[in-house]
Amino acid sequence: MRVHDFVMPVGPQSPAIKEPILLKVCLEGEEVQKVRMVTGYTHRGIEYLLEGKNPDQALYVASRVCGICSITHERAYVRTVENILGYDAPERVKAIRTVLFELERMQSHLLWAGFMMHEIGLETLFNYFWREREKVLDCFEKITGGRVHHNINKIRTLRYDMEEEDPEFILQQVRSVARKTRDYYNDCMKEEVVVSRLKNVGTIPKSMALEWGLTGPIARASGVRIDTRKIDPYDWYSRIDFEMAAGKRGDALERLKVRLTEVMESARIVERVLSGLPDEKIPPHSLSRVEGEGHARVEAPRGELFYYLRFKNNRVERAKIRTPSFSYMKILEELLPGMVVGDVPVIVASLDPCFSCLERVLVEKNGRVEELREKEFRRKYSCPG
Amino acid sequence: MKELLKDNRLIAIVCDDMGEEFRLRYYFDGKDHNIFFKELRVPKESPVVESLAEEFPPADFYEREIHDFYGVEFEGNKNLHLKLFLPEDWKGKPPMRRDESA
Repeated sequence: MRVHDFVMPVGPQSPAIKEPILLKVCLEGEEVQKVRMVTGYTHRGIEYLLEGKNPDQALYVASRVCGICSITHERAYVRTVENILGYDAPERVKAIRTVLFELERMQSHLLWAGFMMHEIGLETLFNYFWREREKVLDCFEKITGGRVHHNINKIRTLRYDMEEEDPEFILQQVRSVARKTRDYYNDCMKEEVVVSRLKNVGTIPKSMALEWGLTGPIARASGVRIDTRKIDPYDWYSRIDFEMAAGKRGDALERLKVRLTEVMESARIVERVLSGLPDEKIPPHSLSRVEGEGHARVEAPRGELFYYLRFKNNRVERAKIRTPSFSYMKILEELLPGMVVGDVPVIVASLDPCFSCLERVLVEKNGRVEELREKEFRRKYSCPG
Repeated sequence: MKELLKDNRLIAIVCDDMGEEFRLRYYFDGKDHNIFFKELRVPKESPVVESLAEEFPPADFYEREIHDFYGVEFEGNKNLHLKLFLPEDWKGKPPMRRDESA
């Protein structure tokens, strides 16, 4: 029996997909015809929450936008406020911020790499990647006291300075992570399972990447040379020479390559910054008075993160956060059609077609939509089971 | 605005309720990677703006978000009726407006 076009809902709560997002996948046999994304399950109204807070309070809300890139959001917020104030931080503050920023990129990419391996069934590599990530989290714990949320950036300064023995510890951890990542990188490229599951899957050609205005590792994997750290440098990125990872094909394998290369490059950046860490006191923290409006962007692990803030009477009047994912999420609707169901989890990375999800299906035939419970569907379309 | 999209990348659209009107700011990443913005002001009674979703696909999400929270209509965006962040059965007024209707 041939099952006609049917819409399979995947998510928002499903054992196969970890992110609270609903993808309505229209299938014709194995082939994906159309995908519609339904979002809004984790909308917390952060922009509204920020309104009415003073600059120092709002910083804590901003850092909680994301659980993986907490430092990035703090940094973007602080950069925006410092832009409004026209303030240039002391060199030591800038150096420590650069170190934290790169550590964040390392842990985020390693988390992603582990997740990717999990999705294609390589649980051992998943554990290996996450073991390395633990080392980066230890560095965070040492510097900031927190493993997930750090709250270390302050307007004009940092909450804590680094201890004398911290650089040694970080260097040791980071070197070990880079060494292991190189090993896993080589293993991945040789491993047939990884290559065959990722190569030529979810390909974004360069022209499409440009048309969609992509940023971050996804754009770089397609051969678009764009990196906010290069084009709009902040902290020590203008002082430090670093390589921008670049790919060509723009498929999932290339994205894995680019992200792992960036982990190793970030380790090198951390090493370089720590070797030239200026020996000076960081300014004490004081409450800020901010008026006016401003914007800033930073290079988050996923791409360009943009902040707009307007203050009135020392309170946030309007905040706008454009996260990197928000600008490229829609590309899924373009990428998935034409692929087989088996490739969907690789492209979405966190999505697995799980047929226990077939609790309810929407049948679309000749433009008419009928909604059926599972039993009715089985009876009508004589599915065995 | 469509002219600007040819050479520049749209970063974000920031909508703001200024009392009598909405202020829409289009932030662009220029040719030599400088950020600049173009401002658009539309009256609150009939907030209609031209859509950029055809020329620049990610703008679809930006516009739907603003439509959800401020009720601005983007002419030419076919997905505007689909709620992006608000629940699909949302009956109330756009929640980010700064007046009694919100």
